[in-house]
Order: sequence, then structure tokens, then C-alpha cells
Amino acid sequence: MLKLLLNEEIAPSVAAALRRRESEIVVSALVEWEGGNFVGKDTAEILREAADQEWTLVTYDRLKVPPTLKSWTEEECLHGGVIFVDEKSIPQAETTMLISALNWVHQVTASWEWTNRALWLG
Amino acid sequence: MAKAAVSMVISMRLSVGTAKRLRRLANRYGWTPSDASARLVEEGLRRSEFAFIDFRDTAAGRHACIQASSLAVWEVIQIVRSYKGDVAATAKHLGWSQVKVQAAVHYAEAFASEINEAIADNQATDIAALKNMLPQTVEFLPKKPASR
Repeated sequence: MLKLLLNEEIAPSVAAALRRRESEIVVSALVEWEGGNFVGKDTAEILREAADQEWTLVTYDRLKVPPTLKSWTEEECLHGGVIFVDEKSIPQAETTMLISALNWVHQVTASWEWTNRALWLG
Repeated sequence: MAKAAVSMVISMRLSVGTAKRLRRLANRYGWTPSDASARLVEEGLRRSEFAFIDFRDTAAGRHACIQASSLAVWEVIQIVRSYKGDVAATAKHLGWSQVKVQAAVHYAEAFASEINEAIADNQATDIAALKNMLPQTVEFLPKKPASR
């Protein structure tokens, strides 16, 4: 089951809007996830906890996240799946566009097994 | 963090314990003790000169970050640029004070090449590069709105 964890660079209002639009969607912004305890934590720590709880990270960060996942893949460590958003197709400021895109991802992939998946949303 | 192009030699006296710790840190990063001390001094100066700035190790190297946030300065600047330089809109987006976003902007103005390089590196990781690192990556194109 798809559970979306929106990384800190994504406006928390996106999570709220997705919940309003689709009551079945499970989505959380990093600032509210686990009581906000993971704000300020490094990428690997967030990914580790997300993997343990089977959350899929949604992020624009293609600098820090992929090297971490690459080494995990090589070590056969599992992660909860990651959705990389392309800022050229969906700029950070275009939150309405991101809400629609994530809603569509949810409609199509909600029943997928998300462990270790990587999806490019462009 | 970019190194200064021109340098001058300053000797300093460290306790034996501090020197050992410095050597251990240098070994961890593959730096010389001299490099390590220069970098630590530079980071310390930037921390003292710029509000809200901290430095953190990441899988992509050591980056200037915003205190009490997981975001590197370059990530904040990417959002600022997405809002065409509107600091207030960026602050609203992140749920931060404008002062905190402005601090990132000031840092990025002072160290423009460092921030632009990180943003360019992030953009360079396109679908092809991502598939090379994470072979399981698949492309997902959002549904286009129906045309009228």
C-alpha cells in the first residue's frame, strides 16, 4: 500500500490538499510525520525510518537521496520506495500541479508493493 | 564547500588531544590535517557571519544547511527561484519565517558558485542518471488535463 511521505522541501499544504481531495490517501508532510521529530535529521535517517514504517518518500532532492539509496541497493538493504519529482516538469511553486500528479500516482499505484521502488515523476 | 583560491600560512598551537582529533577527522575525509583545519575555520567563520547556517555531512558531500531543518541552502534557493525570488511566498511554502529564508538568500549571494553548483548537480541527475544509480527506476508521467 502506498503511503506518501512528503520531504521538507514540499509545502505541507500539499499533504492537506491531497487528504481533502482523496479521503483514502495516506500522506504526511515531514514536519507533521512522527510529531516532526525527523525535521533536521539527515536523509539516511529519514529513509531508514520511512523504510521501517513502509512510507514512500516524495522528494525533489536528487543530489543527496540517490547516493544513499545506491549504497543501500548494493548492500541489499530495503527502502520504502522513493518518488523523485522533476522540478522542470513540476516546479516546487506549482503545488496544484504536484497535488494533481500525486493524486494520479495514488490512483494508479496505491495497491503496488512499494518496497525498493524508485519512480521518476516528470 | 569550495576552497579559497589564494591562501596564506598561519601557524597555530593546538593541544595534543585536539591535534589527534583533527588528524582523525582529516583521515575520515581523506584530507590533510592542514586542509581539515582550514575547512573547519572557514565553516566556523561562515557560521558566525551568517544567521541560521550550519554545515552537515551528506551522501553528496558536506553542505551548508539551515538550522533546525533537513534542507541544504541550495534546496531553499531552488524553491526561492521557483517562486521567482519571492521570499515571502517561499517562507509561506515552507512554513518558515521570512528571516530564515532571507538568511539562505544572503548565504547564496555570498557563495553563489557553491550554491549554483549544487543546484546544477541536482538538475544533472536526470532520469538516465537516476537509472544508472538505481536500476529499478521507472518513469511515471502524470495524466494531462483533458483539453477542451
